[in-house]
Amino acid sequence: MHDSIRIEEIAAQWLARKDGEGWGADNQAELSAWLEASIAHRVAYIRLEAAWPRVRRLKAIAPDLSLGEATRPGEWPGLSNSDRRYFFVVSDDAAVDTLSAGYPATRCNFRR
Amino acid sequence: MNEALDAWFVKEILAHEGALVRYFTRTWPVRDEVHDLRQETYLRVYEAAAKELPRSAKAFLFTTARHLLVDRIRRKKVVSFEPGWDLDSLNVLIDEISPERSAGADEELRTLAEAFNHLPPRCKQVVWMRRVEDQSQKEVAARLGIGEAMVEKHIAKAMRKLADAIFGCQPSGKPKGRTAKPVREDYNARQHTN
Repeated sequence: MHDSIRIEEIAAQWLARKDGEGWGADNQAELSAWLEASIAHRVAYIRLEAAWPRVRRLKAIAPDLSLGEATRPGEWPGLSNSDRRYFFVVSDDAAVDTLSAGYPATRCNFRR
Repeated sequence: MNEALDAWFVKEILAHEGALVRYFTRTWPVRDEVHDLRQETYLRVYEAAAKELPRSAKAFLFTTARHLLVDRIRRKKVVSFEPGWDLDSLNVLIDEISPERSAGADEELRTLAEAFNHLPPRCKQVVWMRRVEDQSQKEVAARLGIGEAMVEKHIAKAMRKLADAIFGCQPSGKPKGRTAKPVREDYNARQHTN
């Protein structure tokens, strides 16, 4: 396995641990030491650190999906073309209205 | 360390990850090495930027990438290249592999959603509960009846896959680009039209 992948895995483990409970000064010191040990560590970490909060944007696509709907296998609600209508039915949310504003007006005819 | 530099790196360098990965995928014959090339390029760019920020981040990124490939070719004869492959193959025009994306934010969201959909079922549940429903890792663990260490593991895995989608626009985590050979053809074709 390439070192770069191993480093990325370790960076992800650090971020996942930091994302949980019980993150303390000891952990932070250990993380800082790891980050300062190599720029390869640092760039891998920065990249994942920047990506993780952006995952929240999944909410903008379909804010009202239940856990079951969002994680069922197959085509994702809000993504499939045949299921376009659903995308707009849930678009009462301000964030999604902003998003759908970028779509051609004709597509909005799906809204009921 | 330097948070301003980190922010610059995310905004000016990572924003071009899709184009960078396409560049490597098209010019380098060994697909398995693309991840390593990408990270090595980031390392070099970050190291140089710590001393002095380049005037054009994108141009500097791709110059660094090309230098890295040249270094690797010179350093080792391990890789067996396609017949007819040579240093000229690295001269893919940046603008060609990095068209300005008009779809923008909407396309990014779609790619993210697709990548999310490709995650294993348990991984998906954890991400949804933690990121969309804003539950703590502890709450996620309790609700799913799994250990907190397992939740952490799922998050670490998802984070890597979703980062590929967010920065590289690669839904399944695999580069979409073509192999080295068609590039050669493209390159020749472009010479004719020029």
